[in-house]
Order: sequence, then C-alpha cells, then structure tokens
Amino acid sequence: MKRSKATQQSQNQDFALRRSARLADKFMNLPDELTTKIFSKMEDDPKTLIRCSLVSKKWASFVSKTVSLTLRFSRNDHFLACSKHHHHIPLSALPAIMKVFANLESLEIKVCHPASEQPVYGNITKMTVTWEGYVSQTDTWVAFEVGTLSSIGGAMLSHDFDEEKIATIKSSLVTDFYWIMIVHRPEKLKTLVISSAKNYGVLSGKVLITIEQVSNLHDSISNSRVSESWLEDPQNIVYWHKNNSDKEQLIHDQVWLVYRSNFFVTKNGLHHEIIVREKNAKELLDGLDDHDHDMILRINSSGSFLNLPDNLLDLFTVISRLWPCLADLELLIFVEDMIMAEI
Amino acid sequence: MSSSTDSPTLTTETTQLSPQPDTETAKPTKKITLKSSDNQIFEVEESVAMEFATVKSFFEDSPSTDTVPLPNVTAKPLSQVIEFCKEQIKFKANPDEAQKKKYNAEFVTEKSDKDLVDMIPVANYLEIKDLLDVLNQAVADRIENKSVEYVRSFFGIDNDFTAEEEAALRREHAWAYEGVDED
Repeated sequence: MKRSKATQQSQNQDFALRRSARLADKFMNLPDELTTKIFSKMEDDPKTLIRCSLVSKKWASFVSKTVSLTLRFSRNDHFLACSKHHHHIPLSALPAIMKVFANLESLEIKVCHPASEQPVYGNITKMTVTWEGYVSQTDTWVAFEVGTLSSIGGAMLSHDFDEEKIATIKSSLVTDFYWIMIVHRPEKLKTLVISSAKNYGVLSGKVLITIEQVSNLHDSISNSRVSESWLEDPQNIVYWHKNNSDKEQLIHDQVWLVYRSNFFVTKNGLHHEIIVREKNAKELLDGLDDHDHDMILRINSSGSFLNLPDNLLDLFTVISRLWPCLADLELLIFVEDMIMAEI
Repeated sequence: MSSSTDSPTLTTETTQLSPQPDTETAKPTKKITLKSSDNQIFEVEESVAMEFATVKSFFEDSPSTDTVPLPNVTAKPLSQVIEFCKEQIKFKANPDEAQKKKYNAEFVTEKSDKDLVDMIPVANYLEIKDLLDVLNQAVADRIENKSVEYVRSFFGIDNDFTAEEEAALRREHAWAYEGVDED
C-alpha cells in the first residue's frame, strides 16, 4: 500500500527500521507460553510482577494469570527494615494488589518484624483460611514464649505475662489482614495463610503448652525433674520441638503458650445461615467436662446472649456488621475453651 | 536404544562380579548428529542427546536414523544447550548437588541477556526441564526490581499503554515503583 504523504512514509520507515534494528540487536520475542513460565518464578516477588504488568497490555494479562503469590508486610508498615531486608508492602496497597492478581488461588501473607523492634516475647501467629464455594474455614494458632524449661532449673515462667492481653494484640495483627482479604478476596482464592513470627532464641528447642497445661507443668516439675519421657507425654504438652543441634542430653527449652481457634463461615442458599463451628467439634467436646456434650450456643439476632463470653459476643458483632442484611443470623458455636475463641 | 542389559552375557572370560564399569568403558560411545536450522552439524554422544526428550522420542519412533534435524533451533543456543547437558550427564553419574548448583549458577551468570533468552525456546523445544527451570529463574533474577523501561527493552516489547493509563497504574501501585535498581 502506498501512502500519499512522503513525510509520513519516511517516518513510518524510520520507525520500522529503528524497531527492527532493536529487535535484531536483542532477540526474537519469546512465545507467550514461555514468558508466563518466567513469571511463575516470581511468585515471591510481587513488586517485579506489578512492574511487569506495566510493560504492555499483554503482559498485564499474563501477570493477572498468576495463581500463587507471597506478599510481605512489615508489622509497623513498610518503613522499617527487617533482618532479611525484604521488600515490604504498605498495608494500604493490598486492595489494589488483589485487583492485579484477580485469578489468585493461593496467597501467603507474611508479616515481618522490624529488626529494631524491642524484644517482648517470642511469638508466632498463623491463620489459615480455606474456601470451598461459599464456605470458608479459618484456623488460627497463636503462641508466645513465656519462659524456659530445663533439666536443671525446672520450669521458669515469667510472672508478668498477661496471656489474654497479648493474645488479643497478636491475633488482631493478622485479623487486620483477614478482614481486608474477606472484602477484597479474588473470586478463585482457595487458600490464604497469614503468618507473623518473631523468635528471639532461634537455636533453642520449644515446648508448646496450652493454658490448662501451665498448672500441670508447675505440679509435675515440683515433684520430679523434667525429663524426655515427661515431655513425650501428650497430656503434658501439645508439641515438643527438639533442637537437634544440641548434642548434650540436658534439656533447656523455651516454653511457648499456644492458643487455637477455628471457625466456619457458610452461606446456605436462601436461608443465609452462618455457622461458626469448631473443626474437630466432637473430639474437642469430649474434652469438656463442665458442659453438656452437645454444647451448642445458639444466638439469634433477636434472641438473648445469655452466658456468652465477651469474645464470642465480639465475633458475633463483627459478623453481623459484615453481613448486615442477614436478619436471620444464627451462629452455632462449638467451644473448646473460652480463651481460644479470640479470633 | 542398544542398552547395556544384554552386553554382560557376551563376555565370558571375566567373573560376574564386576559387570557394569567394564562394559561401560568397553562399549564404543555412539554418536548422534544434530542439525540446526542454519544447517550446522553437531556430533554429540548418545547419552547427551538422550537428555533432549524431543530427540529421544524421535529415535524411539525411527531408530534407524542417524541425523536429527532441528528446524526450530539455531546453532548458537544449541551449542550452549549441549554444553549444559554434557555437564549434567557428569552429575548424573556422580551426584553432587552442591557442585551441580554451582555449575548451574556459573553457566547462567556468564551468559549475556540475549544468550539466556535465546536458549529458553530451545530448552523448551528439546524438553530439557532442568535447563528451562535454570533459565527461567536466571531471567527472573535479572529483571528483579528493575524499571519497567528496562524490562521492556530486555524483552524487546513495545509499550501499548497510553500515557494516561500508565500514569494511573503507577499512581495506583506507587509503592511498587519506588526504589528501582540501577539498570
């Protein structure tokens, strides 16, 4: 095809020449399928992926096909560096990121602690949310370092820990992410893991116990010295994470207090029923001795909240705020213990 | 395809205690000829050629051929891919994960951007999964935290966003465009 204006033609030729010269200088474009394979190596690098989505519209569509991603935030937002020098993302950027990665199936959110942060307690929080259709299940673990256990000195637990207060603080950190993700969740997202951990005695072994086992620990230690067999008894502890590098037979491990909570959210057709239920309800209920076997707390939005612990009331309030349209809201709650229900 | 399984029975003078190593060295190494799209001929040992899944299945289909034409592959990336596979054969015989990692890292570090990207379609066509993995990771590492302009020129891609669209996207994800590494 001939062009009428000579100037335009020469401009076009110029452009084509420059372009082909550059391509010859570089290389043939990679086929799309191979470009996306490169992106799959960047699942822990959302910063580069987002920049790639600005390369061209086609690349933006490639990036949006990412199915698995890890995002790192800093506990005090992104201004303070963590010891690993990760690129931290500001919390406020999360909704926009979810728009870019609209096809995500699995997301991991890691919350780093700034290297300069004052040591308080070692702590781990991990929340796992899985979706199946409208049903979501949330499992939360919170653990704090509260003392040491040694074969020489017995158990030493700090007296000043206020377990309820720290549990509330720690879980609220991941809960912020949880609520943002509930609102901005990509449709296909099936797994969300939010974790935050700070370990001050990296090399030590860890003994995980529940709040009920604290008194147990005191009793046993006063009678007999702590031994491996005592630690291997599941009645005494939840989990013993041995430090393998310690060649001596002496035990000198950290004591971590662990809480777990678990709930389901379902949306069941026209009934709009929401059920909150402990995962291994039966198993857990068997462990309750001062309640009826079928302890189910039924709360109707018009009904009474008799005998409900405060933290369950909080949960109810949050859920009803999130789905205000649900007049027939009903919660079925299985409870393992009262402290664990801080979600 | 003629494997060592039937060869030990041929040797009668030795005891049966040392079968594999002797037959391996005694067996003449079969060469296979690969022909690139720009008509260059590469003679490689059979064991190396069998690393290329595409070549391997070509031989399984027509065992009598001795030259494999590779119409999608030019000489330069092919020679580099062969170099990589020769080393992998050694690691197969003598597994040493640390050495292999070190070799793989050096292999990609000394290559130019163009060489790396040119090898990707070749590794893909010949179905050399390990190499493809190494190359994809290397390219991902090279564009890590680089500017959008750098990535465009790295892959030779034209920007089809309007200035307004681009500005809006940069504003929406301002954090991602802070702290770019030097090109």
